[in-house]
Amino acid sequence: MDAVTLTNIRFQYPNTNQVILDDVSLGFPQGEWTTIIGHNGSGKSTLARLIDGLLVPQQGQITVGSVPVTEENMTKVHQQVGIVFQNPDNQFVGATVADDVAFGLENRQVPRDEMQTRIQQSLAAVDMVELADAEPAMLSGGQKQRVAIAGILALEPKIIILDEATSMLDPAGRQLVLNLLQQLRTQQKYTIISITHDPAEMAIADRVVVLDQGKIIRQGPVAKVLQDVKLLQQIGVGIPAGQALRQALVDRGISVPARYFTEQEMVEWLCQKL
Amino acid sequence: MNNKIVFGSYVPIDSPLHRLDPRMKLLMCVWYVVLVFFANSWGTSLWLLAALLGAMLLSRVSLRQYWQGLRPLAWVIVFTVVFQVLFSSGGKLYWHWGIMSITHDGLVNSLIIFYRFMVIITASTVLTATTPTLRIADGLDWFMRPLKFLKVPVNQITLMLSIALRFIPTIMDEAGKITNAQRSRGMNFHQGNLVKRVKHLVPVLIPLFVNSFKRAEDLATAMEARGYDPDSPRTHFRQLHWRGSDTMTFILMVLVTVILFLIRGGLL
Repeated sequence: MDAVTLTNIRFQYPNTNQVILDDVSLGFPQGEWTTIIGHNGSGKSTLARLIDGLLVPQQGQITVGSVPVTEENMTKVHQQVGIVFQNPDNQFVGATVADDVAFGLENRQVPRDEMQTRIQQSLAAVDMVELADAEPAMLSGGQKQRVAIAGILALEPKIIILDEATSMLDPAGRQLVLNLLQQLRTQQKYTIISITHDPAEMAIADRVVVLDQGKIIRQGPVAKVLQDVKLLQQIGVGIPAGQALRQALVDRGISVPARYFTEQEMVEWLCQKL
Repeated sequence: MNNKIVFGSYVPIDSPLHRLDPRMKLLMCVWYVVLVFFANSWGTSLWLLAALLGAMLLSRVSLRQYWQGLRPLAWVIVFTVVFQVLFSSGGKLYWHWGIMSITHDGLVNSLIIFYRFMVIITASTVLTATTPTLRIADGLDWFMRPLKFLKVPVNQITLMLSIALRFIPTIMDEAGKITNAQRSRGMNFHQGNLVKRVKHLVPVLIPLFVNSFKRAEDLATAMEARGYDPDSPRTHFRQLHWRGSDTMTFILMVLVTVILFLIRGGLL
């Protein structure tokens, strides 16, 4: 069962000639973590905005859960989909952390008593309870992104989309956000879609979709797609560490099994060889 | 950025005045400004000054901090007072040169203006020093509620206000970054005459504006994604609590007013 399905989507920004997405059909399996990778301008972010109904395709149909994404269903769609955007500052609406988490709840007219508990729970989930009254100017980028995630969790969506959400963070902040996502995945309540250039982020996902010039050129389980180092180099994304090491060994004429290696697997394989 | 207390900034300490409901403080401030215009004698003026001093003491903000808050406005006050002294006429003439003259009425008028300026600015500083801007916005929201019946988009206005307040530090920060970026390319902001210095601000302001528009667009998308619809009703997370101390303050305010009018009417 797919949480999100796109059928024959064609999208083009008004007053431009470039087709951003060209006849794209794609499904996102329920409860899995899918990363979308590709060049800048390959249509990744557009795809995320289409799923949430923030943009309307010229052609094709999108369904989220069992709801078709149309103008009338917008409220239902927004309830099921939560997006974390790239810039931590530009999505922080509230004057304090708690206020920001409350923003989505206020929009949904959640009564105040229920709001309190939901804010507490979602801040606890991202480990930001102590900073509930902090102002955005006092927070780091990673903390702001965690607040953004809390704001989404409070709304109890089925699908969480991360649109390069870790790209403006420092390595420590990025790691914290990724750990948080891994935790969320184990709860199996959410379908995660992340758009990224970060090799570490793609390596921990379940599935990878490669977009290039508005078309899907490859999709499948992480181990299968990331095995193709040439493809990764061609679309200009980073290569996960285990895979990079494997390639380096192969280039020096050492025979390494032609399969996907995570960092851990590479360490184990090397230990066996020694 | 400088850490000096500037006019209107919040002083984060705990005091009886800090704990009051922002609605009460707003009402008090506005009411006080109205009262100042009813002061017509030494007695009434001193009585209101005493009330203000009482509030300042209750706020536990030091007089020095208040003075620092007032100082940037000192020039405006001095200019207005000097203007009043030199250009108003009436009463006994003490000195004159061309169109300028010092007269008895001019001196009295300027004294009144000086007094009004000082107490009104100080009173509003008491409000802003004891109330975070966001709480003031909440209070304003409450006072504007009746306007909803006149189809005034009160909710949108308050949300706009609170977003504007929330982005001030972000945009200040950005201004600092752009200034440094321009400086690293050899721009000297402290050189040349006034016109030149103002011209130097252009390469800071343009990127700042462009970025602000980008931010606004990002923010609008993010708000939409979180289900914001300007036309539908919303619940409110931040609530205002009217306590006993607020009622007490209200009674005090009425007392101050009654006594003022008693002094004014010559009954005290």
